[in-house]
Amino acid sequence: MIAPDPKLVRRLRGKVRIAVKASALLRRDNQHAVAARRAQGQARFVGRWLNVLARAGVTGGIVGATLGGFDPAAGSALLLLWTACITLLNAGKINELFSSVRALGVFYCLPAGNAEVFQHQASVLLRSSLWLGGDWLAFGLALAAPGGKAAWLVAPAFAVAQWTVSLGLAGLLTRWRRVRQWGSVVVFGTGLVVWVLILTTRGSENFLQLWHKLEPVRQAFRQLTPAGWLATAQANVLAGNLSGWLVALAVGGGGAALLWVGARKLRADFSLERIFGYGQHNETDPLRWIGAEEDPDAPAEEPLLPVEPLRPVDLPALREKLRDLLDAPPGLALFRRGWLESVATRALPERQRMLVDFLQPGGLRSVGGWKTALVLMAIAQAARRAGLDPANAAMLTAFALGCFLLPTFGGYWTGLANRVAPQGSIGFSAFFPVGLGEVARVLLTVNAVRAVAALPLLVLAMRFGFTATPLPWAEALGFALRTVVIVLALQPVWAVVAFSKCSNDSSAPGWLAKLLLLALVIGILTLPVFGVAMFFVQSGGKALVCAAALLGFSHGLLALYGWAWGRNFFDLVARPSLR
Amino acid sequence: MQLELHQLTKAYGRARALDGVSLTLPPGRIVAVIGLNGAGKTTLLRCLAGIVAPTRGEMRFDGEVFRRSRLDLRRRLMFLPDFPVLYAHLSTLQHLALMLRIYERDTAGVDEAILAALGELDLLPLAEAPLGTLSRGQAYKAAFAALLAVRPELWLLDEPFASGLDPQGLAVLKQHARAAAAAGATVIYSTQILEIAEKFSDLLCVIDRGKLAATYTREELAALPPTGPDSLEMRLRQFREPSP
Repeated sequence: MIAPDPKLVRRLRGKVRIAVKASALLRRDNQHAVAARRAQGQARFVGRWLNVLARAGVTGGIVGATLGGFDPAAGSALLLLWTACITLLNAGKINELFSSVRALGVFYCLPAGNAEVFQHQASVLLRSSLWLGGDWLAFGLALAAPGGKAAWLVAPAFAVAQWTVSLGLAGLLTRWRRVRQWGSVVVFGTGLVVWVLILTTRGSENFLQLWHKLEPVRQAFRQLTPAGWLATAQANVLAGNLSGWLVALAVGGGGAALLWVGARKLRADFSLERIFGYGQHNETDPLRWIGAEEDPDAPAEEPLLPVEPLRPVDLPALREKLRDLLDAPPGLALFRRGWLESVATRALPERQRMLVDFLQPGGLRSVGGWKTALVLMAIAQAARRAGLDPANAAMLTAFALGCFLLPTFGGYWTGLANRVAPQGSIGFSAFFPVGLGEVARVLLTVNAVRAVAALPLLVLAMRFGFTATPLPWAEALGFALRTVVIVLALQPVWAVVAFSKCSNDSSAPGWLAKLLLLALVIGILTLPVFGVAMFFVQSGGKALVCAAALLGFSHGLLALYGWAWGRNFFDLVARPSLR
Repeated sequence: MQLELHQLTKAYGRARALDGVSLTLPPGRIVAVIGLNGAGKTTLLRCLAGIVAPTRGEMRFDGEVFRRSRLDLRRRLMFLPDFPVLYAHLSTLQHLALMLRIYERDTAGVDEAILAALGELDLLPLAEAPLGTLSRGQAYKAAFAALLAVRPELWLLDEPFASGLDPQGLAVLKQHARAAAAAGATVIYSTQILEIAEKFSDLLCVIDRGKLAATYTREELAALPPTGPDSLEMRLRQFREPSP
């Protein structure tokens, strides 16, 4: 790992503190550093505990329920879903760690070669990915609790296999560029797991019905994913069928081989020169280009970037191009892409169309995902009628919805990104006269159009996609509408999060800021209650009330945050990343 | 734009990045803000841009209280950090067109002003190159060209003289800043270069540990001896000395 020598840091820290203590002026100046250090410590503490709590909420819930008599197969299904989420998350993390300027920017000016930087990033990835092994270990130990000594050996062996396979698959998934955007899916998956757990422990009759209807999906997870094969093998081993060990060996070995090949390929492709776009730099002598003396007799080196002769300027053409740009109606990039984008554009007034240009200068992509989801769902149905196992067809439908329809809600908006600046990072929008309210209105309107467009697909998916026999139309429509309401209710929260990540709202001073934060946290925690209630109440009227409460609550949260944003309750500078 | 700061304070815990800064600036002034590293120069500019929220105090633009939600006031100012914010895949022309729309300055006759600015800044040959392929100085020029196109009433420039601009670019910046000030705009910039602050300002503000430690008008600066204990350089050096 590329890390400072702790002894040297300790020695220097001691000397600096002695020097600071000796001077009243330096002591006064040091207050800023002390405050910053304390704030960093608090943020690290809170971040670590939030992470631990999130993990404990999911894994602890599953393990606790299993120990409390919950069906181990159901617990295993939930953990499989969780594993799929973590695999996607790790795939995004690999992309981020090994190919993004953001993660690698710190090495730009360091005399560190590709090999050292790769090793450093790999160790960061390995440390953060170990959690999954821990999850499976805890679950395995819970399963082994009633067994003998040998049963306790099963848990660590299968946990290692699960971790290896998941990381190997994550490496494989990085070939798919869109995997970077999957953070939201992970959050969704996590929320779903916790949500299902809450319901399970309450023994809701409605939930049990849905749970049984979802059997094909659970079965598909067990049959189609390597994690599912391992989970089944683990259950077999615990039941005394030793052939499960062979499966573990084969799948775990396959995962290890995948990990090995993936790591080698990643290492071979990893190049700081390519990422930063500068010329060759000699890896064996990284200091060569920093402080080496010039040899006057050496032949002149090739320039780092090819120098192109300047083209003569065609002023009339340039003038015409500028005029075209200024005359073009706002939101043109959005308008030209497809029918869904065109409808979204028509729903926006001119200022908001201009904001779309600002937020996403390359235009939005919605219709592509919509079409792909439709085609995949049609293929799933056709295959099912042709005799494909309903479990596999359900899996394909879930894949179509989760991988192509869901990502169109939210996604990556360039204008909501932040940029690194002294003392933290600042959102793009903070530098320009752009208001939170108007940006939020754009996001909500565009996503409302997308939600309406998604409704027919959801109805079809609910009716034909997941159950052994088609659901009645009314029931399918009811589930689809409830899903759309949940998606719409999540949009304001997503807008708050998008602005919040570029601010210091969680550490802003003053009791009003703290009160606001508390209100937001309580509000966000309350939302799932209405969401769960809306899905499982029988009466249509009550569902409508829950939907209204859900939408009202989430929009209220956005309005509250927007009010605080406009009243300067906090800075638009996020504290620097602690890693 | 008339600018009034009343007891502007920004605290981070017990430390104060700005400590009771009060200042009134009539329109048409060029103001240099100078101070040691960490004195609070950038924080002051960020406060004025609405990025940083003051812990206490008030800012008034033309008598109106400035808050982040006042988009009409924010459209009258432009903040240019030393590393400007640009979309890497847009060309300079596209960036300018986008800025004009965001600031709602997409008026007739703006084309010629833009082309003239691009010409002055030697950006015409690069007008269609993606901004991500430009050098640091060229990227700053592109951002500055947007400022010239938008013609804000309040210029907030963070370290413009350490932004990679070449001599021609610096000359254009000074020339346009003077012209804008003559037309009633207020130009506030931070710098560490004493010689520039001394010669290129109507008012020099010294920030020390968040406090407005001293101000010098153009006349007061002209009256200071170039060397010796009363020179500006020696006066500023006192801020480094430990207090007794």
